[in-house]
Amino acid sequence: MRKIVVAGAAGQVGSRLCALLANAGHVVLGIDRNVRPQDAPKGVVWIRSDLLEPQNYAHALSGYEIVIDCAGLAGKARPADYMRENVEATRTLLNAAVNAGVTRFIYISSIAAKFTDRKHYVYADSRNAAEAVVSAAPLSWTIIRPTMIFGPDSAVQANLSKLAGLPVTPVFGDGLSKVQPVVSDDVAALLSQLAFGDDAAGATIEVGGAETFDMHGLLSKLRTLNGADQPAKFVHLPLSFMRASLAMVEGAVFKFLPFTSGQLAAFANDAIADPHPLMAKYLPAPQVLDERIVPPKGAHTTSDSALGKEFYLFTRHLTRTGGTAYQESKYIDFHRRHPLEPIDAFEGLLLKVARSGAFGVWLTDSFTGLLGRQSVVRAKLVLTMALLESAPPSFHELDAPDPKGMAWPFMVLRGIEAAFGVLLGALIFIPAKLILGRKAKGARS
Amino acid sequence: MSDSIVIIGGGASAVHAAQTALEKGRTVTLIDIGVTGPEPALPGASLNGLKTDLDDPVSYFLGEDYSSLILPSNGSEYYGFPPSKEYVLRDVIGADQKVAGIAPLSSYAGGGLAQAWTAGSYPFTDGELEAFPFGWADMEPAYSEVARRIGVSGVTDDDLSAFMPTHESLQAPIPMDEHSQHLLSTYSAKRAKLTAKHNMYLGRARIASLSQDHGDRPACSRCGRCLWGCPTQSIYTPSVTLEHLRRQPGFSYLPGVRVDRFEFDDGGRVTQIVAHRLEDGVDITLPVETLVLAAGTIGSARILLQSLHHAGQDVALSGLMDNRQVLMPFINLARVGSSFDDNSYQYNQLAIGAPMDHPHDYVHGLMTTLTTALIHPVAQSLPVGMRTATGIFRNIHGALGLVNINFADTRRADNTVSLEPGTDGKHRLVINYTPSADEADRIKRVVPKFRNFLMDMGCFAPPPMTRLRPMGASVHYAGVMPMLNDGGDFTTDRAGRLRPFENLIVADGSTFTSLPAKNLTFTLMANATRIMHEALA
Ligand SMILES: Cc1cc2nc3c(=O)[nH]c(=O)nc-3n(C[C@H](O)[C@H](O)[C@H](O)COP(=O)(O)OP(=O)(O)OC[C@H]3O[C@@H](n4cnc5c(N)ncnc54)[C@H](O)[C@@H]3O)c2cc1C
Ligand code: SF4
Repeated sequence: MRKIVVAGAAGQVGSRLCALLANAGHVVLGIDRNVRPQDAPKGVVWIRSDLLEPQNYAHALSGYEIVIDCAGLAGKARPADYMRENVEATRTLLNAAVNAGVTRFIYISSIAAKFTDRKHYVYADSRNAAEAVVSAAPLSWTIIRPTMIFGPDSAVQANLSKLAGLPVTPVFGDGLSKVQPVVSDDVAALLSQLAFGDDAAGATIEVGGAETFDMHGLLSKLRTLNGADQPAKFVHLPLSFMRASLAMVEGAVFKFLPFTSGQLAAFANDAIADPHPLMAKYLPAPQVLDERIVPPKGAHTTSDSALGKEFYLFTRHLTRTGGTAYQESKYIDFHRRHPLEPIDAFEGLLLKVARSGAFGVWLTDSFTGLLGRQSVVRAKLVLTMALLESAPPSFHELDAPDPKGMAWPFMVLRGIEAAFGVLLGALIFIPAKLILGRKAKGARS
Repeated sequence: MSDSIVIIGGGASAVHAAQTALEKGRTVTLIDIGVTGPEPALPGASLNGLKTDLDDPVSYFLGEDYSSLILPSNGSEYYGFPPSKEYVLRDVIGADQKVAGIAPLSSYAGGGLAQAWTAGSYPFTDGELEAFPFGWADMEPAYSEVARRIGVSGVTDDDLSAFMPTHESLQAPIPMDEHSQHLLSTYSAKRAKLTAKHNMYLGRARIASLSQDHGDRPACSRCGRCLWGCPTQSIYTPSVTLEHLRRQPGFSYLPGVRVDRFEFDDGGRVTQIVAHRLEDGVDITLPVETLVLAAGTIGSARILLQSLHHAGQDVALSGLMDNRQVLMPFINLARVGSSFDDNSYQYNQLAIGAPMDHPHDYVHGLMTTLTTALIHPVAQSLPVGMRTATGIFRNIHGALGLVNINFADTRRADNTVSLEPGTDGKHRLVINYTPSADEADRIKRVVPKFRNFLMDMGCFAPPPMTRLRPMGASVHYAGVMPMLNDGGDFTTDRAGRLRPFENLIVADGSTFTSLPAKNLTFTLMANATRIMHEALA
């Protein structure tokens, strides 16, 4: 039994790592800005803190031997945020660890740290700077540089899958840059070995998956796994032009951009791992991308029941966080005790539309908010909200306001969206209601 | 008066009557139905800690059977009643009553209704006590004594203090949440203009919640769980006094017993009470020397009426009162988009005083910035889809507040409590209430006044969301056995002695001769204390 600290313990690698270590009988202290995930093993001690606030956790580190830093900011962010979250946060954690007598520190960097074309890509710089801090520290250290990480909660995977599913898939540049996605379970498994591997001291290890693709190849594979029968059609967007123009406007319209010019570096660099002997030793057979990792569209990972599907659709409609299996079981339990059944054909239609998908639930929700306040669909949505606000992790999202200064603009946008939804809903549903009402009358007489 | 005293009831009135009687050297038996609640869940956890660390948080927050879930079909309240407090209103006696114009709630809990109260504790002024056969000077020692027992916090030097005379033993106020701070500083900045224009005054609430340790109760740790039940008793509830009583010599507690009636001889002397054990229905009779009725206004009325009925006398007790309440949710525009801290005291930290022409008509507004209540009840009251409501609420949650506007009430002959024969041969309680003729008028004048005051504070109160609560919802019942200097039968003297009986004292809200707008419970406790002092002198 060893004592290990995992920073970024709620993240996609950190959460898996905590589970692996705790289930192997180690004492695990998880630190994360987020609350303890519902499914974290009971044995994991949790401190909810920003790494930049050592007063919350520094005292707790003494007695621990190993710190694994999985925290880090990727995705769209402003330059200063990358530096703060990736460099300063790691420096703060590292100092606290050294002061507490921790003897080993493992840092999860990124393959971007070796990109050569990194125009506007402060993210890559921040990873280099953090690596420099770690490698200068007076303890045994190891750095790993994973390529893009896939898995059920991977944002990159979700975004690329979405792109791949479009009738026409936009690709920046020639689509020939190389990628080698690795699965989050594998990264966690590797770390759980490296933590105790004395031979890894002072090593920087690049970590990639089983297969290497070019961007076209990856998108095509995702499309196939998604269940599309037509091959992908690509349209190429000029990469250097996009990067330059995004860089110009980014400061002003940052909030509204789906990505930044820096992030496009992924299309300009090969992101594949150089082989390393320790990889062969500790992760000899990484997983390939198959249906388990990229489930076909519409397939449901946790629930097969109609109510369960409905619940997940509704939770996605109301929040970004979505629901958990626990909340789903409560949703089903409620229906078992208090059935919510449509009382007439029109109600049945509303429910059917709501269940049909994201657009359907948006339309019925907008419509019933004003014109069907007693409808079964609305009752179900209220129930969903009550479950989301009563349990983790979704309750946090329901408490968190939009980014500073954006509350009013976003509320106005939501107002417009709502008005549009009601209008469209009324156009469709009111005639349907009249027709169904007449039919019912006819049947009765 | 005799040495041995039997008290019926286990609520705020009864426990302070009991404590006073004990202090005066009497032996006391307290008979109470006495339903108890669950132990607090994870006492050290904050509100969000409960959500995170409980195995089944949904059961805790919505109830095993989802009884606290508000769906469109049953949604008229802005807050669901927390499952952890369900025991407070659980009807274990199958009370049969026919009501018109009012829907009173009853509690059969050890500690009574105030096990779920929000702890607002405001002494009445001389003006508000005008109809009572005594004034502030007679009440002050009792208020101070109760404050010493229970711990009350607040201030004595702000604008609102003008409406709240100063008693002893007031703790410093509990630190305010950010939103309350913002409201108070807005008021302070615009004070001259606001008070001149509206003649309304904002200040710190007085609450029976601790800012400093008190006996073995710790100061509020700001865990944010108030609405769900304070896990550390930092909010006073009568069960605190009940526990304390049970550790004292000369006191015995008989829970699980329902008193049906008392019996009296021809000379008007109460001889015994007739009760039964709820568990097995076994009848109990208990001889009494001095009987104190303190089962809450409705509970005491029921016992008196049943006793009289048994002796062949059917009467109607008149003068039932209750505070009308209007709920006015508002949004503090300057705080839209602000985040908020769930780790703060949740009940009202601020109150608004609105003096009227006559001091008795003073209107009292309790201002709450509650952030830990579940939001699905409020969110669904917006005329938009739930997704839009969710998106809006995330941004306005830290800007939302609620003013609960309380109106005074007076005794009127047609508001009665009586008995009528039920179909099953048993008698049921009949409760009738009609608001005063000028009520609608008063509400029409006062509500816009509050709305405009809020608007000048930068807070918008959407008119469709302002709701008139039904009578009974305030849970401030009083007045059916009033203290009158020269009253007839079934009224009391100022020491609570019920006419025409020789040895029967009433020590709860039944004795009030009028009902000011300020929450009554602090005065209930002080009055019970004063009554016992005077009756046992
Ligand atoms: C949600 C809520 C919030 C509130 N907030 C406030 C506030 O902020 N400020 C305020 O001043 N007030 C508040 N109140 C009101 C306050 O709780 C009541 O005024 C107070 O509890 C009344 O006390 P009582 O002892 O007179 O009667 P009750 O609390 O009704 O107690 C009656 C007692 O008598 C017992 N009993 C009844 N009948 C019998 C019988 N036949 N035999 C034996 N025992 C019997 C019951 O078991 C119970 O213990 C609130 C109430 C509620 C529900
Ligand atoms: S009074 Fe409220 S905030 Fe304070 S300790 Fe009790 S529940 Fe927590």
